[in-house]
Amino acid sequence: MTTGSLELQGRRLELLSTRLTQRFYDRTAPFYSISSLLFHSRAHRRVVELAGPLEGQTVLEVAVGSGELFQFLLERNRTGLTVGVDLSPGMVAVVKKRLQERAANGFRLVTGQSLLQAVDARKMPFPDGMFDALFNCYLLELLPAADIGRTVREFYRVLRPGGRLLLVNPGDSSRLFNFLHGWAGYAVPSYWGRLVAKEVPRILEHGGFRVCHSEIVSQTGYPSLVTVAAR
Amino acid sequence: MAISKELLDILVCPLDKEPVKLTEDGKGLKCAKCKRVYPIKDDIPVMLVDEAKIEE
Repeated sequence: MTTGSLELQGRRLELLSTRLTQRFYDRTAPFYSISSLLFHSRAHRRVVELAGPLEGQTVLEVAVGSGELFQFLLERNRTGLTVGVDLSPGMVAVVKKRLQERAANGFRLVTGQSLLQAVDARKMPFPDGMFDALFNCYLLELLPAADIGRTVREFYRVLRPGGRLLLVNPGDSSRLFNFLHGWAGYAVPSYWGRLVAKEVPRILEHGGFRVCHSEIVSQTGYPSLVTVAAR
Repeated sequence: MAISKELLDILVCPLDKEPVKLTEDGKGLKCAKCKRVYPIKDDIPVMLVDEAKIEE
């Protein structure tokens, strides 16, 4: 990836409006779980492990996508409240329908109490300090630079003091991976975004968080950076 | 119409963080301060400022 093409990719991302991103995910909602299974499921499991006990807590997942992690969170929080949000009402509808179908079929994995709604991560409809833990996977890389800071500040606002932020983003990897990711991000910015892994610690610390742990989890050749931070 | 009490208890207006209340027809959540009504579509609250309408 040359500097010129990186700049071009960044510019395309800056032009990407929230509405376009919302429309992209509304349309791809029925198929999105395929990419979760291929690239994200291992990182989802790991981030839940790293979160520690969730039972009885108030937990938020921002950008639930097709709901694979949300399902794990419900399993781990049978007595608390698990809230899931996504910018795309279509995506939220898919997750809600799946959970209802599973519950109707007596599927034992649907357990805890879940609340779902369509929400903009930059302006969330929750009071200050409400959540014990906040999960967010594969979102920051899709946002224009100015919105990354606003979103992380919003994460900080809705978490209680001492609350944990569990973050997953595409990891920095070999030059070949970074090159391919760069071009994929140029072609379909709503899906691939850009690599933010190197900037994550600085972004979080700037937003008031303390980074406690980070590691790379690879699946199908796709590296994910898993980060745990405290408010 | 099945918006749970737990959800109503926690939701606030994303703009001014005031509590929202269910509208009389049950099709939206209204902020008393800015008068924005956030639609409820298929039982899913759409808490997006762009999708809200100001109703006096």
